[in-house]
Amino acid sequence: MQETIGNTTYNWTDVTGQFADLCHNLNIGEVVRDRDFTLFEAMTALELMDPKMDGGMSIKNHFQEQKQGNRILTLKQLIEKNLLKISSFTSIELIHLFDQLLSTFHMWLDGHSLALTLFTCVYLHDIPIIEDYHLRTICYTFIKLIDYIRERILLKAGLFEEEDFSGTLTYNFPFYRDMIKDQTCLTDLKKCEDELNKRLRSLKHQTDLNQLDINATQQLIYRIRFLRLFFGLTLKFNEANEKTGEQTYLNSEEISKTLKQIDEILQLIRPSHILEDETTKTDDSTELIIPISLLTDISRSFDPYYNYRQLPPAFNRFIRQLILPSVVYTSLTNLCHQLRKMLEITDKRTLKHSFEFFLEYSTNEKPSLFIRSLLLLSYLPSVQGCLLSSRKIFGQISFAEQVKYEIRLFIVPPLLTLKYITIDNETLNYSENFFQRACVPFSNLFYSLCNNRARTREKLSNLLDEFSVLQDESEKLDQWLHKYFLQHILQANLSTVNHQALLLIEKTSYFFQFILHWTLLIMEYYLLMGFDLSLYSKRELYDVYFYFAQIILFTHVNVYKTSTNILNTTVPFLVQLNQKQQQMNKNQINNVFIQQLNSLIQQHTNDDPLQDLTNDNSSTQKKNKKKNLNGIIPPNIEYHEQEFLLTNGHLSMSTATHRCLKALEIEQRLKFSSNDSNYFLRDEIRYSHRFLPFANLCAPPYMSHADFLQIQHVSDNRYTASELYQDAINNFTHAKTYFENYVNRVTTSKQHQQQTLSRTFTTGFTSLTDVESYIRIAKTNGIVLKLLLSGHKPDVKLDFDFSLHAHYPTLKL
Amino acid sequence: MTDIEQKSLISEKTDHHVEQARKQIKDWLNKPMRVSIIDGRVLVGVLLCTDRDQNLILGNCNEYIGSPSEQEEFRVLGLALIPGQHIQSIYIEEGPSSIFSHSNPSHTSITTTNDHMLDDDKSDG
Repeated sequence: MQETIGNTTYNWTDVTGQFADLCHNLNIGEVVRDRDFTLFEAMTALELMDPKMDGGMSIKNHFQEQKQGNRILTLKQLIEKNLLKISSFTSIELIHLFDQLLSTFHMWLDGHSLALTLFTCVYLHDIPIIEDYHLRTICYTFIKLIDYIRERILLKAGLFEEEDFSGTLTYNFPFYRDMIKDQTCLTDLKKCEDELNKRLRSLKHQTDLNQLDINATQQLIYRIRFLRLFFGLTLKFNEANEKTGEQTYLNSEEISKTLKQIDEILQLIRPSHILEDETTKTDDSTELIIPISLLTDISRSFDPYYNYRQLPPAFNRFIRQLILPSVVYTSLTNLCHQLRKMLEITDKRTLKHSFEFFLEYSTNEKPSLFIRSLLLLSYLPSVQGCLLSSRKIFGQISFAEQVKYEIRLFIVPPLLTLKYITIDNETLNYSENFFQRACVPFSNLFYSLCNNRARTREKLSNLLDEFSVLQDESEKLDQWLHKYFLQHILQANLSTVNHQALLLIEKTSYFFQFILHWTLLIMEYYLLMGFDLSLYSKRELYDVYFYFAQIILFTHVNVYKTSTNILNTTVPFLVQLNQKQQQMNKNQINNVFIQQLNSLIQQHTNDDPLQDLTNDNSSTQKKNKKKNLNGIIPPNIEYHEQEFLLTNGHLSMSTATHRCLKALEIEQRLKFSSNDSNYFLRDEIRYSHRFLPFANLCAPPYMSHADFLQIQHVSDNRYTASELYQDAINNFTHAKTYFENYVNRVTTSKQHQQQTLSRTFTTGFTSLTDVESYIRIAKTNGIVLKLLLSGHKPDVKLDFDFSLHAHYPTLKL
Repeated sequence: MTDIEQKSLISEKTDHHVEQARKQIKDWLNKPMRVSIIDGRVLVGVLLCTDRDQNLILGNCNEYIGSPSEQEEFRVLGLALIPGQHIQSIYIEEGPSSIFSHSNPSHTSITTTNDHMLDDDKSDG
């Protein structure tokens, strides 16, 4: 058979039967392939007939229709043939068009391509041709809206993935950039609204009241007002200043006002519902019923295949059914809710709080790409030609400043707390250098958190490399500053030198501890995300819990201990020193860093660890605290208390889990282990793959698989199953206590603090709802283990159940 | 002739058969192929890989709806996997002077590994 395809002529031989026979001779699992062709490449092949991958699947029927001469007509042809009208639309028709456009807009925001969504509306291809003022304005606004979202939000934030919007954010569609300005759309919409209001009034005064027409006009007014408000709202994000072309910053008050108005309008809008069969009547008053007979004039206004010829050949041709307007309006209400929640970021004044907010927001709200982009741009507004690391938080505070402030909060290094020391140039440059370098990983961290969750995890693993470099730097800086400060403090010639505090200052690696703290936070979140994304197989659970507990959390508990100890011991000393020097220096603040930070410190007087002691005329309560702090080590832990409880809780929890995994394995009571003698611990490849991102860190040092096995050998293997059960029970009890204490602290402190609304209920990487589930898991597992220990049902095998929480399993008897 | 000798002869014979099949398929590798699948689409590309169930991987693959000669429009799929169960017919161009001959280095561009980086987390777990 000869066939010419394009320019090539093929001589085809039918080998259907022969090929099948030949293939049948191959062994099962055998693959015949070219030397150059690897199976790795085969992974990237598009699988035909797979409904998720194969976009061509659904198109066949349409083609058969097309062959019967059903050619696509252009807008001009449609108008010439009187198939489509461009003037004197009724309110019903406009409502229908509006809802359809909104539905396609919604699909576009969901990540579909513009060609298959909004631009299936034939009107959008040549808006100026439309004679009807209302429709023209609506069309322009939609175009401007997508153009703005695409240009100033999605592309600016740069968070989209290859597959979002079908791989392309640039189109050849008309966007009328030169013809229409964003502001013109807003004023035009307002004019439409006014004009329609007039029409509505006159309708109401007519002698024969046409209720349908009145309702429709009223609904159309609501819709146009909604569009105006929504467009106005979008324009408030990342808007460019007209004169300078620079960023205008988020005005959260104005935005929440608009959000409230949008919410009200959304309540009033009744989504349209097309009634195809006019005999069935519904009494549902929440929807605006439109009989299909009223829409015959505009039946060709949407053509799903209109752009078909312009699409690149590799383009996905799969077209989803349009979403019902009622669904669209509901999801827009959700969008508003998410936006309102997102605005809370503006209250978060420390990196830690922002980090917690980002985590909580992405877990609870599951924001779409659009919202994630808005979040990033609200937190770190993009300025033309500005690197991510030099962007300022809320456009105001540079990361270098914020990091300094954060370190001061965390561990009060003398460099950032002593007001009256003079810092020589060399030290200044050295430390400023460090802060500048810290900008890159910290800004990257927040960028990473705005990506989708799988991508965030990947980015965090890359980020750990940057933090490892920063750890090195911080160590060097610490060493440099040690010498410097000892000299300085000795020079100050204090009569009452607190030797203990001095010794502690001498021995502490301030900056290293701070960087380590953040490294550990990222590591913890990274590992737990593996659970959230259900990446781990049951075989590797032991490894993960072991590493999580014994390496990461253990180190983190120590970091918190160190920091708390330093805060408790050196804060009074530092304050004393500041006061002494204050008199000598006549209030002249010499420390450049303090000068820089002053505005930040003054903004948050409540949080500052030094503040409550510097005010001498403070309340008696504060004096009590002062007394307490002057003691050598105060009995109550106050700084980092919540973090301390949580980290310890996690530590006990995961220790308990890996102990009990071990015990179950010894007794061969795992349902899924299939009689392997050594179910866990065997997979070196998996182990190194899981913890690869941690391999380059200098702290906490990476534990290689060999070391890991060695430790298993010398520690856990010595114990019997019952000893391990007992230990697991104890640890679950500890975990429960820690978590319960945390919940108590949070709920009691909640009553004290008035600003509960804007608080995140997340500390570190753990939210309050997580903790509540953890407590239940610890409780259940403790009971199950006690039963096992007492020899209950010795033959029954156990399974893990992650349904209560992804992070820890409940044991199921 | 002992039993063992006889057995080994049989297995040699089948081995020979399998070997021949393998060789024939190997000869067809990198040759243009025209596969129609049950929903009426036709796929034209070069054979890269197959197995016992006739799952095919075609490189440089184009998708046509209906007959490729009549259809001016097609979709470029690149590397495509056709599950054996959906295959209706297979045609191959056996010409000796195939432009896609094995030694031709230009062919390698079909399956370069440029953007084939995998997110390895997706492949396990």
